[in-house]
Amino acid sequence: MPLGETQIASLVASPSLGAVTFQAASLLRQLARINDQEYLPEACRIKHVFECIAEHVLSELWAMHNPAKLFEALGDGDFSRTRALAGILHELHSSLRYLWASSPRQSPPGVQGALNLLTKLHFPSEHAICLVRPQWKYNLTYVSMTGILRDRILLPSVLDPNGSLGASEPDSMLVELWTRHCSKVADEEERKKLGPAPPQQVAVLSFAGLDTHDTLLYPLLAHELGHFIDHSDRRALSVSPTVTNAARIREEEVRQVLEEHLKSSVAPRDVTLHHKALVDRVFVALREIIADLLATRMMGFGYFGAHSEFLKALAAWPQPTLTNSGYPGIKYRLRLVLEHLLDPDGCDFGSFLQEYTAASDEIGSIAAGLDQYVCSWKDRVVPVAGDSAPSGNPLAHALNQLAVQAVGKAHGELVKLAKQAVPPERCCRMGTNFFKRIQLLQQHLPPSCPGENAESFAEITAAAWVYQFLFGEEREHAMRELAEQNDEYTRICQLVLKAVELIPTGGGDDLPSESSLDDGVLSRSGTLSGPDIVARLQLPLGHQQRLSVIPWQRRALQGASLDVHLGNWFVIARRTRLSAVKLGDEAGERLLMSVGREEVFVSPGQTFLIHPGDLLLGATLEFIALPPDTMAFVEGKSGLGRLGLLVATATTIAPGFHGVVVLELANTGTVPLELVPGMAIAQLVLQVMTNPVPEDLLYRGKHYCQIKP
Amino acid sequence: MSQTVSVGVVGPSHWAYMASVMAERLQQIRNAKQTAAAQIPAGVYRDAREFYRLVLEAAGDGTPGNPPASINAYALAADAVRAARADASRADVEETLGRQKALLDKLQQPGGLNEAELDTLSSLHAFFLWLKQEGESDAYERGVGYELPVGFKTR
Repeated sequence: MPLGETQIASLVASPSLGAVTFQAASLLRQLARINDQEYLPEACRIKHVFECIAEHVLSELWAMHNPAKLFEALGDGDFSRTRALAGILHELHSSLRYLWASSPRQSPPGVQGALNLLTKLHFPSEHAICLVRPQWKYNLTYVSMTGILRDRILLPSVLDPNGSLGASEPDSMLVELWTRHCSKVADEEERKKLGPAPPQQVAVLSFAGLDTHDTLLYPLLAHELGHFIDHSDRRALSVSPTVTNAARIREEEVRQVLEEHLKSSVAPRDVTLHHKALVDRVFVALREIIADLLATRMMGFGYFGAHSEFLKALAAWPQPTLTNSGYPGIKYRLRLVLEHLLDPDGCDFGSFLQEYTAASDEIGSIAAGLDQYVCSWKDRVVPVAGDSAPSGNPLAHALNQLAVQAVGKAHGELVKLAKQAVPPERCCRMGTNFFKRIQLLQQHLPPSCPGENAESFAEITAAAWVYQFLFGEEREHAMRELAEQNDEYTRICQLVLKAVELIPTGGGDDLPSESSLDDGVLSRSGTLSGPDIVARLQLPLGHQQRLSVIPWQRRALQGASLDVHLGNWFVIARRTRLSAVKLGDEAGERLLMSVGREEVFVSPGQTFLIHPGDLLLGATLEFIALPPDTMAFVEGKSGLGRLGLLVATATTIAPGFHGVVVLELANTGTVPLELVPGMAIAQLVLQVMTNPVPEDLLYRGKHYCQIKP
Repeated sequence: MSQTVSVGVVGPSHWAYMASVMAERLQQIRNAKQTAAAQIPAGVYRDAREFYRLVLEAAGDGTPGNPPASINAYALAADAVRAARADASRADVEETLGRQKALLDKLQQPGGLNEAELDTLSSLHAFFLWLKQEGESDAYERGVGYELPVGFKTR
């Protein structure tokens, strides 16, 4: 049984064990704050792993506690063990920040969802968890929680020196602790959710917090997922026998280089240390290269686009082949990624482009532009003499060359392993929607299509980069103000994020293939009937009268309106100490928006309570784009109104509006109501005006392209 | 560009408790000049052998299973051996570590120890004492550099 409050209090009072006990109890209190209402299921599952270990530490401290000898100093062994147990708590506590930072308030849940799909795709038979979180440092990081658990936390000598758990290996020890932990969970439903075994593979993928809203950089997370795949076996791919044999550097070789340059014998200890440093450098390089290869196989062009742009911000061009830390230089890395992207045995992106470049339509012109872009990169990454330039120190250069040669010898083996880990059938290939997604972005629409699945994340982000390189940058440069350019880029990021968030919904239904357009439908004004709504949805992208609803759902169509559904994002009011905010005062309004409201994400399958008297903001799941001749009204569903739920919105939607529709939801009844994301919440009545609105009067306000309240 | 910790590469603090218990038990064995059954706690003994497995993998002619992890452990062990004999070559280090490992494998079975084994026992004892001190110092460094998670409240 877990220790009771009295036992913990008695342990805390112990002079020798009190401090560590306090830490353990405090850690358990912190873990209890991770709950399934505010955190994603992935974080909650990892929390249980931490809990079962912390509980065991507490029970071990209790076993060491001897009230009869309360004031006697601990023996050397017990003292060391107490300190080692404290070290384990320290590691757990240090990892707690990953769970907190993964909350939807800090880390876009859409990306977590997309990575969950990728994880499932590439770990089909395993119980793997990938937690995504932003970090302060401007970089990305892979933290193998499984590795930390094995290497630093589940130490048999510390947690179970006498073998009483009956498990001698870290993995089996965790299973035993998990079983004990689960048996103490009183709620049967909760126990079922935990399952019979702890997660087999756990990783934390961190991205630069500064880029939280920069969706185009999310493909970089695939590199971290690549590390996860690399380490998914007990023996990492980057240290598999074929690789280690090819990349071997002997201590003798290091000694020869040292003596040749120093012209004297070298102390054995120095040789060992230089050898160790070189081996570390080689294996850092191999680890990064295989993660790049795996990411390229999973994400295709999207990874190359994000990687090249991100590296440009971090490193000088071209960098030596291997830097002192072992990280491959920017030029070398991009060359390997590009080669694999174009390799017929890899992503075969070159052949895909060739298929379309000959076409004389718009798709052909996009493909030709992209082909030109790829060719320019091929020229830039061609190796030239002096790429692995000496660092100025001939000895350092000679040692680095040993590492470069070792990495070069192992590269072929890494490619083979990458092909096994992500076999051709799971390798990212662009599909028929690739060009359509680019065209959707050109129209400021989310690049989302019906039939979304785990592979869509790669296609969406690849299309986003192509759009950005071929059209987006030009569009931004045409804007005079820097703020305008930034707003334009932000809009694209939001549209891409919306598409990523829609992946788990499947992207909605296909529109009917037969056209409902009759001769008069585009010249009539008035309220649109159901068939006329469909007719306008069917117009080609870029048509002046085209209406867009993404995702489109067949069941949403009504006789004279269109049902819209509740999204996953809500905004609730938070109490503040602000005395008053004068309406119209921009600074005051901004302050209120920043401190007086809290965003809440409700995961699919969960609900959100709205209490009597509460007002909160929700948004439609659907992204709407109205043409210049159409406006819309939002009406609450009458059935919901009868229950007391008012959908009091700014009911008019202006022509030219693009975005989700924000709904002010109020419970005017007497009982709390459960809101379920995905439920039909309101209806849009669409009205075609007598004349289209001129360009300068189209809605382009601050809510243009909004994707949440 | 990502920053990632190599799996399996651990600092001396990882081995501190194991080394502390090993040093204590080896002292008892040295005093008694004989070994007894299961004198060393099973979990501790397992970790001590795991450490030597990693070290000898890097010392031998074969390629280690996880080169960074093995060579990291080897550098640590070589440092300990060279703390007693600074000019010990790689072959000397390998020979010493090999002898220590052979004795370590026998420690859980009861039996007497001859003079040569008692010498090796002394070097093994000194080795674990050194590792314990390194480990404690490493643990201290890690503790000092420890940063509380943002928003941490003690109550």
